[in-house]
Amino acid sequence: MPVLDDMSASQAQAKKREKRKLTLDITAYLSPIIIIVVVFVFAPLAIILFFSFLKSGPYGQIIYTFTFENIAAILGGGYGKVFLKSVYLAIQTNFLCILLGYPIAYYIARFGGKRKVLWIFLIIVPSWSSYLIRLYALKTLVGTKGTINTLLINIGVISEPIQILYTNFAVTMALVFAWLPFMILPIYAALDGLDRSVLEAATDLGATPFRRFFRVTLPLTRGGLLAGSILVFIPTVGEWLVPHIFGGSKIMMAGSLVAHKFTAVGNIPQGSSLAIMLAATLVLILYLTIKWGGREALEKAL
Amino acid sequence: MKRETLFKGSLALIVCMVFMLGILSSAYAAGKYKDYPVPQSCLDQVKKEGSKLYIYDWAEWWPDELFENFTKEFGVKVVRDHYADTEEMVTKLKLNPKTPYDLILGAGPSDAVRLYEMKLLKELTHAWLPNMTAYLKDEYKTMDFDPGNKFQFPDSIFYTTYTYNDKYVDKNDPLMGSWGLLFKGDKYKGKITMIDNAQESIGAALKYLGYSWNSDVESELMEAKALLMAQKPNLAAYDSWPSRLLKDEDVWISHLWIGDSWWLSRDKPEIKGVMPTEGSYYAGNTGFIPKGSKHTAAAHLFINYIFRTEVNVLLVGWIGYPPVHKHTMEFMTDEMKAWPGFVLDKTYQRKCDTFDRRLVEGPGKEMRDKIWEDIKK
Repeated sequence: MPVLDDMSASQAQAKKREKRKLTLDITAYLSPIIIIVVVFVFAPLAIILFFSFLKSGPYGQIIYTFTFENIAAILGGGYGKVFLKSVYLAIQTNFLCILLGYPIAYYIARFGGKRKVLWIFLIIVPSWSSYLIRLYALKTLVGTKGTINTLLINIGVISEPIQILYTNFAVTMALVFAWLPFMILPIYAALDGLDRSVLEAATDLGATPFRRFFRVTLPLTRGGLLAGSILVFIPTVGEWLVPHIFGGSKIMMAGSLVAHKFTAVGNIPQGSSLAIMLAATLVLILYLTIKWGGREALEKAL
Repeated sequence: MKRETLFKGSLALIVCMVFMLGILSSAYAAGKYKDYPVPQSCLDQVKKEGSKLYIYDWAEWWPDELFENFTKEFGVKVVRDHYADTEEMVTKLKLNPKTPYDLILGAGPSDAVRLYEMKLLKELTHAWLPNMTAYLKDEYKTMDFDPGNKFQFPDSIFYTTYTYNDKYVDKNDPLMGSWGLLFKGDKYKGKITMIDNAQESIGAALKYLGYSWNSDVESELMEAKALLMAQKPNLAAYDSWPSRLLKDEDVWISHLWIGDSWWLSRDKPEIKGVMPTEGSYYAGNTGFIPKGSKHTAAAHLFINYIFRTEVNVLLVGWIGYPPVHKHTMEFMTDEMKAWPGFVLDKTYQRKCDTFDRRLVEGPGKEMRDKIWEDIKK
């Protein structure tokens, strides 16, 4: 018996050693990526976290004294409205993206045929140019003398140009325009991977196309939907450029508020606190989404 | 008949020649004001520091020619980096005081004072700036916030007024000529822009109400806030550079920087500049040398260079902001001199306020931040 015990003990030890070696190997292979992530993601985040507990001097200099003042000021500063508005706009954008993106993805996955790759390519191509340039391109379409107004006036639909730029509509439109591809792609991936025989089985069992869609297709592509939602929702909450360019700086979203604190007010610690709170809110939302949608959503998003 | 055309033709020719002569003579005449070169010690130091100059300024504002000529003349390589607004520049220096820029251009006194108080600026060596000593107007040498130009210098004057498009806006509107057209112009709902800056927008409101631009009195500031809040639904946007919107007729009335106003009204005659009767606020387009500068001598060489009369004429003629150089105005075109916004005469100057520390410190600054945030959100 003792011999056996010894055997299993040494075996266990060997196993442990092997495992440790494997972890070490993985770490070694991944080290460049780990270093990049630590330096460019965690370190800046840590700096922001550090700043958020410091004081701001009379001229906006950073004073290295620990304080909870910023967090208190933010909680009591009436910023709830700005955060809620951002979340509302993000949900709205998300919903519209699903409404527009799902049929597009569905069409490409089901009826794309040989041209599937071309369609997907066309959806990805605009993302190759800078986000800012895409937004400015859209801006030239919607101005009083922009393409849309000129076209409508020329064909006689309207006599006076309609005001699109600097309205809530313009902000929503630009947000949807900017983030739609990030919704289409994961949904497309989910739909494309859908097993056709499941659908056939549903039909054989007497499901109407409508029922089949809601009982089979939609639940099976939930992962893609959630992945798209993560990709659209998170950047939209922190959006700063769109309200600036399309809302005429009249609408403040959470991202604009952080930028405002950093530059216009010059209070870096308070701006950092806001940024941390925004990040915390997003992490919470992400956590809830994953909990609800399972790991599948996260994997699709990645 | 024929004789008449001939006469007209020759008249045109003569006018043309006189005009050409005018331009040429002014170019020559600029030479009549002596250039005071920097002392040899400065030039030696420039060489020792490696004949380089890192400038941090606005993109596409000053003529490229000016920087190229400087490099050609002194062999100093100029590297420029640009900020999108001065707040961005201040934030950058604040976060990293060692940022190695040698010269910052196009800021304002409020940036200079804040940075100086945070001990982020180097002081100027006046012995290396003989042109500035000789030609900077005396009134800008003795500004309250920095008598003797210890840490900053102006290169021209900035102030804001407003412009309107007379195709759409009634010239005889009772509010015309007053800041009121911006604040009470309900008729032009959705066609008005304000500058996206707390000091400028709140300041304009204070002036309209008859208070000081620099006010730090709570009741006055609250009145200004109420005015701006009531104005917000009428605004198309808060935009600091609405030139394109005005050109495209997306908006009709804009709160605007004086130089932009000049160029717009020149390019598009239906756009007219207005000097509000209540007055405005003027201050220097300010330059300074940050702490991180490694080529301080080259920075001085450059400052001295832009105060050379011909160079200043080139600069001011290009940007269209009123000069601070004693003689630059003499060489401006008649077209420019005919425009009150560019001349900024003494009578109008007296109606205006100029920089006061209350704008950047104490309760005035705090209230402005809070008010601006409330308006924007």
